[in-house]
Amino acid sequence: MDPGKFLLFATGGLADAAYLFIVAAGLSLVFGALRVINMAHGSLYMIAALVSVVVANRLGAGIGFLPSLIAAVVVAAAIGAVIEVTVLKRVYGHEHLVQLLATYAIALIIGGAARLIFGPNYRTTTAPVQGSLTLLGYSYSVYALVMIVAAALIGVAMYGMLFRTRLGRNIRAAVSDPELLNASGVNVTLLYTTVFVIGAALAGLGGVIVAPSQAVDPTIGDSVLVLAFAISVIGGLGSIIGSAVGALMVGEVISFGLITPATNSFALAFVFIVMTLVLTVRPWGLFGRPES
Amino acid sequence: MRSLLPRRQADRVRWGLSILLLVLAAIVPPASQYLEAQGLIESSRFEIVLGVTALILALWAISYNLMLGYAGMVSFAHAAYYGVGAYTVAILLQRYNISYYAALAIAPAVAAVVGIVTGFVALRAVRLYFSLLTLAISQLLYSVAEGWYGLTGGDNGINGITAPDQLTDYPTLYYFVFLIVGVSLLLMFILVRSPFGAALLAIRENRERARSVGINVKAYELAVYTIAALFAGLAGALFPLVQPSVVPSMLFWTENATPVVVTLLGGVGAFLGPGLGAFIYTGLYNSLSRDFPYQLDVLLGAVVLGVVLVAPGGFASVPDLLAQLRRRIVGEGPVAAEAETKGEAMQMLDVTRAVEAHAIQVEPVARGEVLLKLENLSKSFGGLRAVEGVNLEIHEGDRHAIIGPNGAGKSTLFNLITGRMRPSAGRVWFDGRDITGRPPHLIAKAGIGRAFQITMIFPRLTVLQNLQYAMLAHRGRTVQPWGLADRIYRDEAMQLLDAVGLGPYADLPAGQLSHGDQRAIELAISLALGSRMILLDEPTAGMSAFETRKAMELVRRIATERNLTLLFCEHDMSVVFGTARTVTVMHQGRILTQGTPEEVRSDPEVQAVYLGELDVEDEEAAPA
Amino acid sequence: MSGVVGFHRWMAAAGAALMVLAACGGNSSSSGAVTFKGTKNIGLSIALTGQSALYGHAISQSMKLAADDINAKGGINSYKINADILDDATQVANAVNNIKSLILQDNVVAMLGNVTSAQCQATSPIAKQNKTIFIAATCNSYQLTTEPDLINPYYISVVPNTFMEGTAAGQLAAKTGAQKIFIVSPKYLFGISETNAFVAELKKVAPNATIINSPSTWYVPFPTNPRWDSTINAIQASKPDLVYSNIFAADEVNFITQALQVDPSFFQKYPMTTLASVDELNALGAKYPLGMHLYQRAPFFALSNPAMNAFVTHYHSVYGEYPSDWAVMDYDAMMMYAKAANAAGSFDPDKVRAQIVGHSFDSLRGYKFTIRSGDQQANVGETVGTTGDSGGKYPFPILVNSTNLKGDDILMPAVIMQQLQAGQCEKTPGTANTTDFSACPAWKTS
Repeated sequence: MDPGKFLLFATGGLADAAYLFIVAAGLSLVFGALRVINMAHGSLYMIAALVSVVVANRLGAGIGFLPSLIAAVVVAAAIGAVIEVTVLKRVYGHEHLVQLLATYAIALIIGGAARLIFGPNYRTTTAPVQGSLTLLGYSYSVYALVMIVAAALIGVAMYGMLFRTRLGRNIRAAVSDPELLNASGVNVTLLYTTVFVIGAALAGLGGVIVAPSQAVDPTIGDSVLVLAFAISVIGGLGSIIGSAVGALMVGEVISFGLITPATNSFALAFVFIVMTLVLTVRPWGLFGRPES
Repeated sequence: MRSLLPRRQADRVRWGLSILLLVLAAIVPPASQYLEAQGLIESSRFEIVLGVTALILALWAISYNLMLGYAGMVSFAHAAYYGVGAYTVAILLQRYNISYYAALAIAPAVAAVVGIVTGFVALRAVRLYFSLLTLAISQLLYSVAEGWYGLTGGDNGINGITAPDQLTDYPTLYYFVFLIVGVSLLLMFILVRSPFGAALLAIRENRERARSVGINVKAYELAVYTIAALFAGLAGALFPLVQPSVVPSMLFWTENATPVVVTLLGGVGAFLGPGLGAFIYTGLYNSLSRDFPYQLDVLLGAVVLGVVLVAPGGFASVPDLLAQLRRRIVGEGPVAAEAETKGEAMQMLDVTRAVEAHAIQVEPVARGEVLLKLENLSKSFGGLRAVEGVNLEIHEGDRHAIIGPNGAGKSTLFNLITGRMRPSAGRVWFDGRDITGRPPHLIAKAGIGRAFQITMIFPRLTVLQNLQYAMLAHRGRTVQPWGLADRIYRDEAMQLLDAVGLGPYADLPAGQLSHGDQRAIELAISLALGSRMILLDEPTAGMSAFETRKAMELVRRIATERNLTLLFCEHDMSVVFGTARTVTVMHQGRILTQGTPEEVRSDPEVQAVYLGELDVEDEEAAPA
Repeated sequence: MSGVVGFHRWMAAAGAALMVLAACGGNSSSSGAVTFKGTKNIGLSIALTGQSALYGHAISQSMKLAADDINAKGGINSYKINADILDDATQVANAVNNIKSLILQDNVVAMLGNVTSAQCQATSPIAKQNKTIFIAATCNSYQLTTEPDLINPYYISVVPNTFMEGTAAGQLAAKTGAQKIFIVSPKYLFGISETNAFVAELKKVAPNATIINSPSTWYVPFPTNPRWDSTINAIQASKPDLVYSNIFAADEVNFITQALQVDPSFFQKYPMTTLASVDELNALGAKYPLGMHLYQRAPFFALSNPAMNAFVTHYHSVYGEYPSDWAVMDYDAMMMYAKAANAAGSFDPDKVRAQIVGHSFDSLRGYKFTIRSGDQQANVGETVGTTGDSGGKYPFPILVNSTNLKGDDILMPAVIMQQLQAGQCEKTPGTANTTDFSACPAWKTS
């Protein structure tokens, strides 16, 4: 394979990894700190994507992007806050089936509402950064590269937040040592809400970033959710680096796997084989820590 | 899922509702035809087909509830086994021209095989990770169905499946499915009432406790997982009768939402609950999906959310909820969530009767032999050495106490003996056999019983069931998938319960008892296990002085009459001195000294280690 | 944009109401003052949402229009016809539920076919079991009428099937002189069926052309595929002379949009031959690339004739849009049924069928088509051409240099059809669902 081709597929995989990382990081954080499987995570991603497309189209390409980004992330975060305060607070500590069902029910509600409000059909919008460039003989949409850079920046910001701020310290404590956290006098209720809102905002951010590069309709959350699960599991609950590594793996497997005849049918299955292996051998993931 | 109605009446209501549901289900075809003739409904054919769909869904959901309601396992792979059953029938019919009836017999077997293999993998992990593993497995099976074009037709699925000619008449079809579903439900019902089912309930209530009464938890979980997969496969095999095509999306993990929602609607706690849910769901879905598909999603989500938050027991728990509501309205005030008992059990303890209870069985052994031997036993957690180089010999008939300050390693030592933890070094011998690192359920079967420091009972089972099921497990009867678990050993268990003062509470859920009474259950269980040696981990923790005296009197008497060996660790010195014949003192994971209680008490080293603690004890002993 | 359409719709509704009133209030010598004996339902389970919503929208509109027109002429056998339309979101399971509901609950006398062949594959057996006339105007895999397990005497096709279409596409591709061809196709019955036909025809008319990507990479998951970056990259990496595809509806719209984002001159570098309809042209509007080699089933702008022109005006006045290929074909389907049922004087499926098979019917496409016995396929044609500017006439490009291939020229040879139905053409002998015309004895020797 010539270097140009390799770069083409590698970059494609990176672009996929970019938005998957952002979404998975949010899921993983909520997973790790709150020990809740949020089945509505994909719905938040989807709603943000829809809102951003609608707002951007309404305001016109170019100037429309920033307001649409803000609007969409705010909407996702707000819905997240409402979910956490009204529903999740009541089911913390219950069997995780109860939490699963509650968040699944919310996913149903958000999906149905999205269809009612926005209609069930595909929408597209133009990317805020247009243009294509040629590298080593192949064309790339500039926006794909923008996605990659954006994801890297967000990853760095998340890392900084987790390791350099007090909030981050508390979140990490919630992930690795919940009892210590309870004893330390931190307002755990507020912390949980904050974490969930951050997770929702990340899901929304992922949706906004990917929306200009594909078609958006109320079903896009379903496939992303299962990939985000796989990535969180493989990378490790509560670990940003784990989500990045997992997303990278999944993105590249999909990108390269689909082109080779031998691996074509199995590219996606491979991701779940890895997920199975990780769960049987090292359930806390590549970068996670075993529960005490 | 506490019931406020008296047990008997609640059961009667539930039985009545179940029978009503069965009767209604049985008359769907003639009822539909009657209604059509009267012009009240448009098409009886359609209603009958809906009924068949509901029956299949009921089978699928009830098989799911075997895992969920009875064993506490949350699986995302159940739809995959349903799909396997459907695909097996489709492939056999279309490709190999086998008769439908033969395919119907083969499909559940195929699903069971797939189930046991994938279940084995899935059960490598526990709880949350188990659920995630089932998700991964489900997606893998889905990829196979979607990708293996040669076998499964890939994305297309398999179409044009024709039902056998005898079943083209709709009422005949309905009764055929009714028969199959009915027999399957009967088999599952027998299973859940049997000792096997009792083991499942024990696992659901308290995995650790279940292990320590001799239940090989993983084996039972795998068994119920496979059985559930088998019945899911059967439901899937019936599916082509109503829809002549199978598609890969049937195996997608989100399809599991259907049996879960159905079970939730109908009620996790009642056997036929999911059956009720199936009919409700089918009716609701059909009437709304045509005209209000998106509103249906929102409505379904709202209903599920409502049920989860308000009535986790589903519609089957509505009578209970109404009773709660009625009491509130009538003004009896909110029912206290606390225990209904006042810890009087111990006060009523009749030691003589307890000692004679048949429930307690012990094998006679020659006096004085070494029963338990610990050889250089050590356990480290990372850099922390919890137990180091412990050597100990306990003889048959001994009463040996292990004391030491907090963090001395007493509980860890017990865990090493009973198999809850594996030692980092050293060996454990019991009755001449090396039991080092063996799983807890096998150690329990070998003859070591354990009473836990934290009360480990089965909270939602009755007091009587707690004892009965422990006995069933320990005596190896839980492999039996028929018979009524609640009848076996009933008299023996009642005798023991009466003796320890728990007789009046026999039918109460154990979780409702006061802490002290729960300790009594704990004690009864550990006594009934027919152990030759009992490990008592702080047996009198949380008991009053009076209860403590009574409990230890019981223990001593039984130890004497039945030649039981006692090994216990305690903080309460009066217990130590009153019961133990020999004492080991531990400090920082090592044995400090051993001897009779008096020797140990006057040892200056021991006093130094316990600085302040023995003084406190003395102060308490002195009158105020 | 929605505001304008909304206004048009309101006007259209008002216009329709006026028309209906006018029809009812006609003088007694015409069939104006009609009293109906009752109402009969004709059923349609269509993709009003989901991947093929573009089509479902047009089809349901056309069906309602047809029902109104039929009723204006007195209905069928003096019964008023109601278009009973349900949404199936392009999903197979929903289509099956819907058809059961339509047949068992609504007692429909006939059905129009679903959009995707996957759906028709599942619903046709149910129609057969219940003896309901099933007229396919969209789903078109030839297996639906020739695969031994799927043969259904009540299934009529008025749309060129995948054999006919793939053949037309092969001829189109050969004309471009392309030597290196890249294939992308949705992985289900339709995609595989049409691609096979394309490849077989290509071998015949352009033996020197090669397919440069291996067969296992031809197919992409169906139905929902919101991201096309892998395919776009794969095309770039292999640098073909021509891309052949039969992706359609939302997939086609998304693919073109995303490819243009990667490279605005993507389709100049890699010309494409693809299935299309007025719906895709309309959806992308001016953004639809020029120079694309399209094959379409019934584009109104290439089939100008009095009946079509009147229909276009009629449709546009009611709905404010141009009728797409699907609208045209479903209208034909409804009119065919009406004529046959009236001729039979009954709704009995066998009697109506007897009036369809072997008979000829008018078509908006400007010719009469005949339903041949055997596979009950109409000898309808296919239009091929290259996209160019409409010169301001329409809000989307049209086909310039278009050719209307005649149905008889691309129809599947009768002997092949017979061998297929006799089960002589199975790739894996004795195995169902592996029917392929290239495995027929007659094909091999031609």
